[in-house]
Amino acid sequence: MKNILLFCLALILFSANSCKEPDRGPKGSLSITFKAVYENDPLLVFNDYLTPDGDKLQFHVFNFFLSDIELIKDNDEVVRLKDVEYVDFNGNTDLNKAAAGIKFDLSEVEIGNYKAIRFGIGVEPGKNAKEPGDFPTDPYLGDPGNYWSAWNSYIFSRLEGRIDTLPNAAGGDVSYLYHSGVDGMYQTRSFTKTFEISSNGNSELIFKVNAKDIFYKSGAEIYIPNANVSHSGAVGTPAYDLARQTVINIANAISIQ
Amino acid sequence: MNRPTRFAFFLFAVIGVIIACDPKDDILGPLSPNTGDGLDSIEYNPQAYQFPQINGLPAMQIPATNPVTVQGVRLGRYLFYEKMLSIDSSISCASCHRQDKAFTDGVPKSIGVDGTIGIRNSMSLINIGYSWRPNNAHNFMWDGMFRDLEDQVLAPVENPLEMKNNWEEVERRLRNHEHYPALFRKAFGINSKADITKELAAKAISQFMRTLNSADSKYDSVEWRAFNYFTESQQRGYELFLGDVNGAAVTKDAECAHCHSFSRNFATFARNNYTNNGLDSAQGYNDFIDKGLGGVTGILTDNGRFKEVTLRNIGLTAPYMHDGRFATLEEVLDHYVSGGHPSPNVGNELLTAPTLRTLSATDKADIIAFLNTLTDTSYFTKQEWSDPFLLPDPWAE
Repeated sequence: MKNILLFCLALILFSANSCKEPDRGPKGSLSITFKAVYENDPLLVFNDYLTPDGDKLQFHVFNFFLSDIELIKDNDEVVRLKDVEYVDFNGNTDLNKAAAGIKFDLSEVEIGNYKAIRFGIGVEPGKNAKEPGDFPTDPYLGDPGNYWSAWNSYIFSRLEGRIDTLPNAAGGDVSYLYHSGVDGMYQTRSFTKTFEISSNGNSELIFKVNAKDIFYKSGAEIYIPNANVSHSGAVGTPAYDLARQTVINIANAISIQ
Repeated sequence: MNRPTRFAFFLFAVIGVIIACDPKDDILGPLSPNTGDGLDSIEYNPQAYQFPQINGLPAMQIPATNPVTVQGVRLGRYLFYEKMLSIDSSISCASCHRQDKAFTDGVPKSIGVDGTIGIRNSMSLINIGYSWRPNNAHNFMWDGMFRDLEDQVLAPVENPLEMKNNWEEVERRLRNHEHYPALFRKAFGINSKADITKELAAKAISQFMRTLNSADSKYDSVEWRAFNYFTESQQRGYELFLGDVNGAAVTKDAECAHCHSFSRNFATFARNNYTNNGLDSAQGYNDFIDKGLGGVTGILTDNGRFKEVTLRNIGLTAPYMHDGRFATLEEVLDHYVSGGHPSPNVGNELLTAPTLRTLSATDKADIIAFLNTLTDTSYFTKQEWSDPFLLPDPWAE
C-alpha cells in the first residue's frame, strides 16, 4: 500500500515538474528596435529621396534576416537571445509606422550588466544548409518565399525600388533589385553598448539603418543605373560581387543609438 | 485503504499525469446543457485526423482553436457539398470549387445564385491550408481579405453575388435537418441542436479544406523518385522558370520563381505575397479599377496588388488572374513577356528581368511544358474529397 502511495506521489511530482520550463535564474525584459532612415528622416517605402547626385530614389522592398542574436556580459559571458529574426521595412507606409520601427520584445533575458550586442545579417551557414520545410513553424525560415532554390540558399537581404536620374524629364527611370544569398555573403556585426537588464526594468536597444549609406557611403558606393539588378549568382561573377556589396553595405549602415 | 480506493487513487494519479502534460486544452466540450433533443446520447469521441505525409509538403500549421478531427472533416465534407447553404439550394461551395479542376470552376468569374456573375476568379483549394501564416493578417482570397480560413469560408454564404443567403437561415436549416445535428455532435460535442452555429460550420468546412493536400505530379516524381526524368522540353522550361540554376549565370531567365517560389521540401510554388504584376495601366495609385489588397488595407501603395497564387495544378485552373482575363497559359506568358502595363507599383521582379522580354516561342512552350508537370490528377477520383451526395447512401457511416 505504502509503495503505491509513494509511486503515485512520485508520479504526480514528476509530471508537474516535467511540464515546466527549467528555471535559469531571474529574468528581465529587453526590446530591440530597428528603425530605417534616410539620413535623418524615417524611411517610407515608395517615397522620393534626393540622392547626392540629385536623383530621386525610392525604396519599395527592404528586408533582411538577422541570425545568432547574442548579448555579451561585462564578464564576457555570452547570452543567446534568438537564433533568427527578420527585419522587414515593407510596412513603412506612413510616418508613424516608420518612426516606430520594427520592434522585438524579449521577456526572458538574463539580468545583469552588459557591454555589447552582436548578430549576423543573413542566415548563418548551419541553418542556410537547410530548407523551409525543415522549419515548418518558423514564420521566416519556414517561408518558401524567403528561399531561392537556384542557390540552395535563403535570401539574406532584399533591396528593391526605383531611381529617377532625370527628375525633371522623362526617360530616367531605372528599377533596381538586389537579392543577396549564399554562405559567403553572411555578415556579422558587433555593437558596443553598456546597459543593464534588471528584473523590474524594461531595457531597450535601438538600431538605425541609414538607407542612404547602402548606396552612397564613401568608398562603398553602388551606382544603381550602372548595375541595377543582382540575384547573387556564382562566386566570382559581377552579380555575386554586387549582391555581396549590398549586404555588406546594409550591415555597415546599421548603428546603435 | 481498501482495494477499490487504492485503484481510484492510482487512476486519479495517472489522469493527473495525462492532464498535466497534455497541451491540448482547446477540445470543444459540450457547449450547453442538454435541452432534451437527444443529442447527448450520441457518442462524442473526436479522433485527431492523421494527415498523410507527402513528399514536398511539410507539416501544416493549423490554428490551435480548430484542431482537425476525423469527425470534423467528415462534417466539413458534407457542408462543402451542401447546396442548402445557398438561398435557393442551388449551389454549394463545390459549385465554384470542382474536384476535377483543382477545386476551381473553369470560368473567368464565378457564377452565383440566379446566374449572377461575381467579381473575381475562383481560387484553387489544393494545398490551401499552407496559405495560412499565423503572423500575417492577409492570407486568403485575391485581395487578402481574410487572415483565417474559418473567416473566409463564412463569406460566400452571405455574398449577394454568391450564395445570397444569411447564416441565421443556414443555421435554422442545419438544426432542422435529419442528419446534421448528429454530425455536429460527433464533431464538436454539442448537446443541443441550438448549439449549431455558423462558427462551428466554418470550422468543419475549414478542417475539410485543410485535408485537400496533394503533390503527386510529374515534377514530384522527378524530384522524389528514382529513374524519373523531365523531357528535354520540360527540363529546359524548369531551368528558364528557376533561372540561375545551381547558382550559375544563365543567358535567359524567365524569373518565375521570385513569386512562385519553392524548395524541395516545401514545394507549394507560391510566395503568398501580394504583387502588382502589371495587368492594368494606372497613372496613380487611385487609378486601379480593382484595388485588390489596397481595398482591404487602405494603403495606397497596396492598390493593384493581388495574391501570387500557387502554380500547382496550374494546367487545370484556367482561366487565369484575379479576373480570369487570360484563357490560356500561353496568354499569361505573352503578358509577362510583353512587360505588362505601367503603374507606380509594378513588382520590381518584373521590371528588372533583363531577359524576360526576349523569350522566344520555344522558350514559352518549354516553360509551359514544365508548368504542366505540376499537374496532379491523382486525386480526381479520391472518394474522401468527392461529393457525398452522389453516393447511393450519402449518410452511411
